[in-house]
Amino acid sequence: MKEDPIYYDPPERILRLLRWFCKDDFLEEIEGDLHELFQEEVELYGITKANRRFLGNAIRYIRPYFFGKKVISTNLQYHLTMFQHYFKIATRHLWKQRLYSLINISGLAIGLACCIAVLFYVKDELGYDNYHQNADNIYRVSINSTVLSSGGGQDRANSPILWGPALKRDYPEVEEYTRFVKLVSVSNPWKWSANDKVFGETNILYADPSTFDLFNWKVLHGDAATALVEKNGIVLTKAMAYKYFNSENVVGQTMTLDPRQRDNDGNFRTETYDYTVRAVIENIPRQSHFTFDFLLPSAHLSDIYGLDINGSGEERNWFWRGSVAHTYLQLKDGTDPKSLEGKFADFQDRYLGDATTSRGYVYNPFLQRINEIYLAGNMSAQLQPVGDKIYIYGFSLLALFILFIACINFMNLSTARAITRAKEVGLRKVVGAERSQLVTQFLGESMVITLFALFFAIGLARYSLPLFYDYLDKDFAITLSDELPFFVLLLGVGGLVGILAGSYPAFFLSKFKPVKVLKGTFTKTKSGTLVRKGLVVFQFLISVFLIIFTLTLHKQINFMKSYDLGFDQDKVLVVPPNTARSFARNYEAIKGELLQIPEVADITMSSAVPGQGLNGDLYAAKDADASSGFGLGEYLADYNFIDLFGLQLIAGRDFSKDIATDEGIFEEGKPGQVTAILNESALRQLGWTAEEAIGKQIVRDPNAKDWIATVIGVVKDFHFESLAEEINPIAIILLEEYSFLSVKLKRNDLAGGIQAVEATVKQFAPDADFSYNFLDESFQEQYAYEQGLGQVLNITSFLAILIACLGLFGLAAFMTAQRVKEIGIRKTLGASTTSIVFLLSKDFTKLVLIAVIIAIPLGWYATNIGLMNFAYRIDNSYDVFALSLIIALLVAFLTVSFHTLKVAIMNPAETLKTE
Amino acid sequence: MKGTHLGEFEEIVLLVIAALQQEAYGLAIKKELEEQTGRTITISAVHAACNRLEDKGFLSAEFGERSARRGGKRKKIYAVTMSGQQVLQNAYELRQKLWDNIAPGSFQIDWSF
Repeated sequence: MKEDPIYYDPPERILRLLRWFCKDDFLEEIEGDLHELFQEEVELYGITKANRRFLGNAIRYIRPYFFGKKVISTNLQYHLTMFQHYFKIATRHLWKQRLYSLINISGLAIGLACCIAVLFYVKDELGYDNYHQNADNIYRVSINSTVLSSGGGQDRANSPILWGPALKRDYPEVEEYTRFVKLVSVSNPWKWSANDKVFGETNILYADPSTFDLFNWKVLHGDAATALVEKNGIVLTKAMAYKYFNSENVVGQTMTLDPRQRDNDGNFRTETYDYTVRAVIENIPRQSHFTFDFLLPSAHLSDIYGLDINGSGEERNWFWRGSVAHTYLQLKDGTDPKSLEGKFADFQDRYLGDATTSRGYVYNPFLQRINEIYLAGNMSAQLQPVGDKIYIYGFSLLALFILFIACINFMNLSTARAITRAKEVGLRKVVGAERSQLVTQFLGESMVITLFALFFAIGLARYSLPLFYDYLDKDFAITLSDELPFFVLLLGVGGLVGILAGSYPAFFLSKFKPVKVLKGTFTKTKSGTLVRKGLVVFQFLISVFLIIFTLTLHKQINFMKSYDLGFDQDKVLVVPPNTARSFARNYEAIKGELLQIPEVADITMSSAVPGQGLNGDLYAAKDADASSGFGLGEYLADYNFIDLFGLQLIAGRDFSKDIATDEGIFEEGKPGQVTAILNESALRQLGWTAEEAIGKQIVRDPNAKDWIATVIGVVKDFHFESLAEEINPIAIILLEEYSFLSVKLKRNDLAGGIQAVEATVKQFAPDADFSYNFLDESFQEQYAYEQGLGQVLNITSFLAILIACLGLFGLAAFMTAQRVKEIGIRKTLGASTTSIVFLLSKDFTKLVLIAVIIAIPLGWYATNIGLMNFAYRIDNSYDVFALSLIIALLVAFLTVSFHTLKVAIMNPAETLKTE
Repeated sequence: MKGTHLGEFEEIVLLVIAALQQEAYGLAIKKELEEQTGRTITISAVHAACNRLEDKGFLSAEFGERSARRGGKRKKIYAVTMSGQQVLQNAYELRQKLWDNIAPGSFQIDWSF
């Protein structure tokens, strides 16, 4: 072979691959043999086939045995060994120090579980309305209205129905609009019947035919684009199709609607309307700021309102001003919504005439991008309750607090027990470990712990999330399989926490000087103790702060619940409008019947009852300038109202049947002159004293002059709204405009009373569903938000102090164990058990005391700000601070005393005999 | 030291190396193997087996001369070590013992008559 001088070059590229892949050690042999084989094969098969075979031969080396990328392989192998070693050491330590591991892992698990719960929540809240294709170009027209007199303002989600078409006509940047109108109310569901099935429904919207141009809800059957053009078309969701027809494709089916309207006598009209299903769409995604089950054509609204809702609206009428529709605009790509907002003032001038002000309000329309509506929160007239950014910030903050406390536990326990690792660190350094390697090791250990914790946290979150969502009154709908990216994120969070918690111990532990620790002179470091103490103080600072906040909130809630509202709310049974309206016209008759019931003390009817909503209008003194008008709440009531609710007259008199003028004067069935009783707040607004007010007159809507009310009495202010609100001006006007029936029950036999009232009501309104509530209970329901918040805070502050105490427990266990000998000597010298317990507890209680001292002014400041939200509020009082001081000290003392007692009662002979 | 188990292919490779008249390097081993067993054997399998056997201590290796035909690389020439010989001997004895355990006549196909 050597005599053969011809040499063929094998393909270099394949060789390079081989060299890249294979370990150096093998290359000499492999390359050599492959070259030789190639020469033979060229001679045997020719160059082309030999090339192919060369590739085949080379590729067969791609297997683990030969693998070894030069740099990586050596490092990787080395690292792998070291990692295995670190892991082994870490798990051994975890097991050896079971108590501390348990404290660390459980604390971190709780903290991480809180974070997971909040992350889920935040992710869910942020995800609203993003599914729309045009989400970036769809805006809702919302209106900010400011009251001229008080400067108070409010944002509302709906706008006048005539604005949509006019905006599209006047501004080319508006590509399309659609409007939704909800006429059905929760208290009076509309009845749909089809296929022999009848259900009451409340999730029904009137919508423009253009709806499906803007919103790309998934259409399953039928043609949604034309579904709402004709008046008898409807669009259903899939759920409704199954509910009524038990199948999905129900296009062409007929459904009958009974809108449950009442005639003037309060009886239901029996008119029904037939509709044809034109399209079935997928159920509206949960993450939408509004949902619906049925869409009806907006064309009906023209009949209902008595004007062309798509009209050019030359005539100035109420529908240019009254907000009844939810208007959505699709703007052309690249349109700046701000520029359109700037044109609204001019727009209102053109169509409303009197510029932007009307009836004492200034209107400022603005545009809300559809995927920002949900979190904007706090607006009136939303189609459905929405979320609030405040929750996101608040919950995130609370979760971070708890996680942080847990991280501190980890730092403290690792550094405190540094002495147990000091020899290890010293030896590693002697053998040649660099500091960076030690840092890697300890960070790795904290990662292992966090990973364990994360594992438990996911389990914890799994079971606590539904509870958390329950508090928030939010549907819990998480499919774990959809959340895979989320779990990757969680791993990231876990890693971050591991680094956060582990960095200080890693830095601390890797700092040891081998000479010192190996000689045994190393005991503890001053700086370490100081940092540790600081961190304990910080933990308890957060805990105490949370406790103060929680206690204050609960005190405020109790205060509001037990506050004298200024009216009698005890044993008052309220029959709400959906039932009461049907017999309102027969008031005198039903009153006679009801008063016959022995359990009934008194009854009254009115347009509203305290705590359950109130309407009002603009009023001004009769001779005053129209611009002095102010918003005045109206209770349109009968003679017994003041009496039944026990309102206190401070001037004038109650309505009386004996005085004929009280009834007022009616013109063409409409009230022209009425009598009214004002509250003190209204007098302040009018600038009258109680005595002056009697006999004075006020005008409803100074421009339109709806009616003139003569003041015959003044009542003391009473809280007809939540105590979070100021007492606003109201008038009680004698006028038959009844929606609510209030029955004052006499005896304690409430059940009997309710039954008797129900039986009577049924006589007068056989077709109405009887419902009722108790005034005091429904009034308390206004505090549901505060109570929910209180419960979340309860749990948070409990967890905070629990984790902080866990840490303290671990720290105390270690510290006392270190002083066992000292205690033994003290005892032999005659120290008593109590004195030793105090000696040992002193160090810890001192820290907690410092924390409380810092927390109190912070808490005082923060609760003061928080309480500002309540118009009627408690003062920050000492008892809250004293109580939180006692709680913190007591809990800390008890935690520590478990160890201190154990050490203190130990027999000194036992502890001292070892040396 | 890694496990000392000897696989079937490894045993054959060892035997071939022991029996090989010329320099026992990869390509030569491959050819001899193919010749003796009648199977097609890839060069990478030979290399893997030889290197494993070297790791186990059954083979020793030294590098020979460079040649142009080999792209300037040296041959890696294998020789069976003492422990390699030992393990071959053990395998041989084991087989022998097993063969001895088989009762004469067992392999008669027609044993039932």
